Amino acid sequence: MRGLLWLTWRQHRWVLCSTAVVVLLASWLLIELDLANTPGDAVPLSGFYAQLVQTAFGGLVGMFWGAPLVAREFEERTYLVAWGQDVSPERWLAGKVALLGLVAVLLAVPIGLGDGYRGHQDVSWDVFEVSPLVQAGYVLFGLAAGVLMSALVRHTLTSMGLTLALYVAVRMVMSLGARDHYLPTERVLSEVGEARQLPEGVQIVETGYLDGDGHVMGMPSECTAFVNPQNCIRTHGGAHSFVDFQPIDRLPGFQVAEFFAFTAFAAGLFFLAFLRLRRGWRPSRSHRRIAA
Amino acid sequence: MTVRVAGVSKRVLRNCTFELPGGGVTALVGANGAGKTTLLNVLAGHLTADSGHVAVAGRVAFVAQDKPMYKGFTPLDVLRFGGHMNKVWDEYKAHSWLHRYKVPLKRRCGELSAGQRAHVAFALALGSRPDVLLLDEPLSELDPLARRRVVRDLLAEVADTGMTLLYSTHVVAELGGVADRLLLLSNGKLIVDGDTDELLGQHVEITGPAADQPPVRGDVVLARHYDRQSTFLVRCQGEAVAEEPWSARPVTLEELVVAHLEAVA
Amino acid sequence: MTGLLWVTWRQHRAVVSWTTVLVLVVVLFSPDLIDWAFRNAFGAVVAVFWGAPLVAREFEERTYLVAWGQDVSPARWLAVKCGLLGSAAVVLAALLDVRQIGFTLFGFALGVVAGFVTRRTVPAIAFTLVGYVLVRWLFAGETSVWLFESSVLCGVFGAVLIPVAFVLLSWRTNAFRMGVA
Repeated sequence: MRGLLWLTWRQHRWVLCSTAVVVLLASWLLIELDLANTPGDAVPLSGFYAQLVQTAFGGLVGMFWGAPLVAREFEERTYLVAWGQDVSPERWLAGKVALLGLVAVLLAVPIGLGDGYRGHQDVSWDVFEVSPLVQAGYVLFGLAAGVLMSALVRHTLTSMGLTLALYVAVRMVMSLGARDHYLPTERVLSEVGEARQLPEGVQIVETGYLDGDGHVMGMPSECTAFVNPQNCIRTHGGAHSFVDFQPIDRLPGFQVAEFFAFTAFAAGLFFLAFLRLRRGWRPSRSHRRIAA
Repeated sequence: MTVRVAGVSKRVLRNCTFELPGGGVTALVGANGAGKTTLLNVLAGHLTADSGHVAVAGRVAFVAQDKPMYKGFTPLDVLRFGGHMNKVWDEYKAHSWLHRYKVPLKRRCGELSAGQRAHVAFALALGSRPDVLLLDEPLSELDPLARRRVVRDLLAEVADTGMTLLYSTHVVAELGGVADRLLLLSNGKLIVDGDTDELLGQHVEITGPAADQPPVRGDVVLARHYDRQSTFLVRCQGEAVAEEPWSARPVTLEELVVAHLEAVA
Repeated sequence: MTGLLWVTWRQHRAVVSWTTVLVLVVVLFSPDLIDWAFRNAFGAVVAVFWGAPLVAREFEERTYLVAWGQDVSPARWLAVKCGLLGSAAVVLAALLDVRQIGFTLFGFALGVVAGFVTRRTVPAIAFTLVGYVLVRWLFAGETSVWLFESSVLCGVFGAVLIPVAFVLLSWRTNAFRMGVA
């Protein structure tokens, strides 16, 4: 293992150091930056770029650490050197992934602590991603996506592109769709058109109308013309307005769930990458493979 | 003069000066690290000399030692590339080179063997009908049979088109019968520069009883002394006549080159 | 000119096609919530996948010896490539959002310059990405209304970077070339 530690450092020291520098700088900015929310709907653009770091960090690790990992060995034909030694390709990859993964998780922690752009709010659904745990999950997933693409596509640029695409796709699906449903939502009913007082800080998942039987009913097309459609809806059978939401006290639990979900994805992708490596390469010194 | 190099220094090269007439084949010989690749790159225009002056009359084509090529291109793509990127392009010549050496035309260069990739590089270089062709260790990826054929084809090219060919090699055995001129580099310095026939005429190996000096006038390139015998490889200006008990014999190009390289080693 | 058109297309057809597909997907299908984020990212995509590898790959694979060893001068080669790819990028940017044109031009130019500076693909991408985000953050105003001004600023910066790329090109290639266009 010491040999692989040296190898990983020697091969990736530039990438590791420059990422660390960028991360430390970015996290410092994220923590120090103290933006009061601007009134109205205007998006503070510098805040957007701050948030971008937390959204993208896992993908960047995937693109720069994971995607070139195997692909570059193929492009430079150094895989013949790397895997022609006594250490098997799987062990080589396992060692590298373990070390890079560890460093990545360590770097994810300061990234996850930066909440200055939100005015240091402690508890809010807006700062879901401001969590070292969640960022660690993203970063492991990103790395796994990069490593898998790297093993499938033997071309560095293409694997970088695919890694980015996979990361964006999965993050989008999870944050727009799945994240709201880790636990069944709570529902609050009110008279049609009336707004009930909701607990503070909830994440609204869905609103709508219920008919007399308690089934969700869509907005009847005839009622869309009205400015105040309440009467129209009532005549069409609407009995209640409902709001589905997630209470704020579920936030930490959901963050843990997000971490486990992404770590599970990562494990699956790493497994596939190992499978690919095992099938796609016949070591010439298999009889001397070091026992794991 | 087609190629003029005056006082060029760059990396290991020091004060390199020579001239090449048009239409011949010149071999640039030297050990690894002697500066052959640097000199060729300077001539090709890819490196700027730190001092000195280079002039080449005409269009230059250069094939680097590792024969770089676009891995995603097929040989056919490379030919199209050559056609689009050059004012003068001989599609037939390039194509027939590939055909002659049985290079698969529709397979990507990244999937070709090293020898086939070398042929693609040669086809591209020759297709542009250069006035000066610079080849850095062109034969290193080729099998012995292909080497003979490539040398023969290149000589035919030179004869047909009047092109000037300068190629580097460290395999001295392949020089005989090929090169008209010889440039010998050692540690960045040009130690021999001349017509091969003249050089062969000038060098002679003289053997005789142990002595400090050879009996003929000239520069001693290499001397070997044994108990009772001395052998001198001498470069003479005129005829070398050795009287008894000395004997003289002409040397091969290989012996000549090796001796000069050993002398400065 | 048509010759270099073929060379540019042949070398970059994959990345141009995929980017076009991506743009069409965003235009047709992206969810409203983050549509703006995708459109804004286009400049970075062009910078990383079009601009950075353009020259960096030539250096890394040593094919610059092939590209610049033909009759077409390196300056012409770079000018036509940048012109064609830059125009295509601008067209795609306009499809997404007119204000992205400035960011796209800047990103592309930055990528090309990065390629000359680092001469290797992955470092060029890193350089480009960091530079792109940094500059956009610096030029970002307080609100989204400033986006247009920011785009113009970035576009101007990009226009300034183009001659920088040519200066770096002439620095990397030898000025000596005889009998060549």
